[in-house]
Amino acid sequence: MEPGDVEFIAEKELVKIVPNFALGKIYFISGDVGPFSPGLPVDVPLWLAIAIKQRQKCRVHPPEWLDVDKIETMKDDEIASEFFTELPNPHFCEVAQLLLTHATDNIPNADLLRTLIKDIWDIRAAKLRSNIDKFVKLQAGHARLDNLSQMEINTIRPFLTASLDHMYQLRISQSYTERNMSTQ
Amino acid sequence: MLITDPVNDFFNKVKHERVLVMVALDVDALCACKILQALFKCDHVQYTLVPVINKSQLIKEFEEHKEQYKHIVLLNCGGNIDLLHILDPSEDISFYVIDSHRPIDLVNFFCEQQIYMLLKHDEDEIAAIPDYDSIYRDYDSDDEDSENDETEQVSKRHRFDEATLEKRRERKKWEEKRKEIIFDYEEFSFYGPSAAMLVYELAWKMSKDNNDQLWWAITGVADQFQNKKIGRDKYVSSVLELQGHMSRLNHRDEDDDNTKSVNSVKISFEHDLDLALYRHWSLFESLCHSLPTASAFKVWTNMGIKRLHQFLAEMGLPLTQCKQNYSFMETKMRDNLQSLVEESAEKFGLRNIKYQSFSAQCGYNHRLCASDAVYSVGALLEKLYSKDSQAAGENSNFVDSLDSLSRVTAPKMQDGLELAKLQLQAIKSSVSSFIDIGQILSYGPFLYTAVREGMPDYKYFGKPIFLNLFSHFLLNSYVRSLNKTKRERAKNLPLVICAPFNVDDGTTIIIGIPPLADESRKNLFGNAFLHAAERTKSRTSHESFDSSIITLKNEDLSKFLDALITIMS
Repeated sequence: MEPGDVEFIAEKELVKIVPNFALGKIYFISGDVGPFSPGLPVDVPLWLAIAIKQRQKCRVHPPEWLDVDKIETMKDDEIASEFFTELPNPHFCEVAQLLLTHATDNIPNADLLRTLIKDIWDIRAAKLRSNIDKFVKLQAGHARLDNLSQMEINTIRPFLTASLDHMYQLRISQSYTERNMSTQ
Repeated sequence: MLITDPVNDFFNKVKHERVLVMVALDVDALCACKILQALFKCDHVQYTLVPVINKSQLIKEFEEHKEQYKHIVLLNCGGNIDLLHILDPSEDISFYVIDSHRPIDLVNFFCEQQIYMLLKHDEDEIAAIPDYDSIYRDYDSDDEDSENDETEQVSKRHRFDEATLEKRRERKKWEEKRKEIIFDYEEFSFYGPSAAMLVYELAWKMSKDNNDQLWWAITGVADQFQNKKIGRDKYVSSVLELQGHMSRLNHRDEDDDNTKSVNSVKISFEHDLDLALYRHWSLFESLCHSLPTASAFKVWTNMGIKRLHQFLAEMGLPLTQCKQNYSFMETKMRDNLQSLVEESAEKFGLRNIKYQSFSAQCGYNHRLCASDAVYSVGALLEKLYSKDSQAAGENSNFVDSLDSLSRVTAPKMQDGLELAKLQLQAIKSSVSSFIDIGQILSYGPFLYTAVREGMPDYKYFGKPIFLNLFSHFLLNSYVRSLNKTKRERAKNLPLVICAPFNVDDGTTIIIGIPPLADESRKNLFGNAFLHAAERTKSRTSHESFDSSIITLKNEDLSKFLDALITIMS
C-alpha cells in the first residue's frame, strides 16, 4: 500500500464542521451526511470537510485531541514509555496533517502542533526501528507490537518483509550447504 | 445599466454558466482578475481568461469567443467605449464591466440590458453622469407629426406651421445643450475606484474574502496611486477602507500573537518611506531612483549627488552601509531608518516622503511592500522580447505576472523586482540625459519632448506603463530643475511625450499627462488628440483603453503637433 492509499482511508474519519450554507441530506454509498444548516455543527467525513473548506463554506472544529496541552502530554508519555502508547485516533498522523494544511486558520497554535506531531512521529519511528533491530538480531519468529497505526506499519512493511525474505533465503542456503558438508 | 447588488445581479447570474473574462494589461486589472478567479474557484465556475491589450484585440477576441459564451466579464477595459457599437453582440450576450477608466460611456451606462456596470456607491460619481432626460429624448411624437403632415392636406399644414416651428426651435436648442453637456462630461479622462477594490468588495459581500484577496485589492489600489492615476486624497480614502477590512479580517488574532500560523499571509499597515524597492535594493540606489528623492536632490547633477551624500551624512549612515543590500544593513540602522529619514527630510525640502502603505509577509521571508509588488508585476507585464517571439511573449508575460501575484513569496515576484530595477535605472539615466541636453521644449500650451530611436533602452518606451511612469518622473524632475519663476509656470503645463512604438511600421506612441499642479489627475488629452487627428486627418489609432495614449504614423507627427498646439491654446 502506498502512503496515499492510507491517507485515502484516513479521509473517511469524521470531523465536526460548522457550515455557512444550507443543504439537505447528501446520500453517499458509505452513508448519509447532513443536513447542513448555517451555524449548526455537523459531522462529515474528512474529505468532504476539506472540499467544503476549500470553497470557504465552513469552519472546521479541530478534534478534541488536536490541542497543544494534550499533544504535549502525549509526547511526554511517548518518551517515558518503553512501548508504543495508544493513539487518540487510528489515523492520528494523517488526520492531523490534512487538517493542519487545509484548515490552518481554524486551528489555534497550528505551527506548534505541527512540530509536536512531527516529534511524536519521529519518536515512534525511532522506537519502531530499534525494535525491529532487536527482532532481527534475536532471529525471533514473531513479535508483538501494540498500538501501531496503519501509516507506521505501512512505512516499515515493504522494507521489513523484503529483508526478512532475503534473510530467510540466505539462511536456507546456508543450512543447505552445511547439510551437504556434513553428509560428505 | 448600473448594478446595485453585485452578488445577485452579477455573481449569482454567472455562477452556473461559462464565463469569458477579458483582462486589460495593467496591474490593477490583474489583481481584480486574481480575486475573481479565487471566487470562481470557490463555486466551481467555468471560465476562460483572455488578456486584451487594446480595442482591436478586444474585438478580435470577442469575435473568436462569441459563439461559446453568453456572459463576458471585462476587467479594466470597455467601460469608456461604446461596446454595443464596436462589438455588435447578439442579444443574448451580456457584458459585466468592471472598469476604472472614466468617463463611462453614456450608452453603456444607460443601456437597459446586455451591459451591466459594476460601480462603487459613490455620490460624486453618479452625480457626474448627466441626467437621462437631458441627453435622450423620444422623437416619436415629432416624427409622427411630420408624417401626418405629408398625408394631410396642404391647407391644414399652414395651421400647424407655427407650432412645428416652435417645436423645431426648441429641439435645436435642446440639441445644442445636449452637445454641451456631453462635451463637458467627456472633456477629461480620469480614473475611478480601482477594479480590484470593486471585486474585493464583491468577495466581502459574499463573505468569501480572506487575506490573500485583501492583498490583491491593496496592490490594485497601490498601482493606481503609484502610476499617478489617482490623487493622494482618493488614495487615502481607499487606504482607510482597506485598513478597515484588514482589521476586520485579523481581529481574532490580535489578543494572542502565536495563534496564527507562520505560513499564512500577514498584512500590516504602516507609514512607509516612499522609496522604490528599497527593501530589495541598497538604500543609496533606491534614493537615486525614487521619484520624490531623485527630483528633490536633482541627482542628475554633480551638486545633486553631493547633496544626497550630505543627506546621508546628516542621518549618520555610513556609505558602506547604504551601498550594500538593504537586507545586509546593520539591524540597528534599519530599525531607525524611518525616523532618521523623516527628521532629515525636512531640512532638505523633501515633502511627503512618508505615505500610508501596506506590506505583506509570509513565512520567514522578507516583507514585501505593496508598491514594490506593483513595480515588480508592472515590469513583468512589459518584459521585452526579441522580435520573433513577440506574440508568444505577450501571453507569457500575462501568465508570468499572474503567477507572480499568486503568492507573496512567489519566485516570479523576485524576477520581477530585478526587472523593475533595470527599468528604474533606464528611467533615471534617460531623465538625466533629457534634462542635461535640454530636450524638453515648451510649446506654449504644453511641454513636449521626444524619445529618439537609437537612444539607449528606447525599446522600453513603446510600452504604456513604462512610458507613463517615465513621463511623470520626467515632468517632476524637469519642473524641479527650473528656477523659481519658470517653475511656477511649468507647474501648470501638461507634458506630451513621443516615443518610437513600432520601428518597422514607422509608428510613434504619444502620451499626454496632466500638469504637476493638478491634484485631480484629470487628463484632457483624450479629446485634444481626437480633435487634432480629425483636423489634420492624421493616421492615428486610438486603440488604447486609456484615451491619452495614442499611436500615429511618423510622417503625420509634425502636422499633428501643430494642430494640437492650436487646439490647446
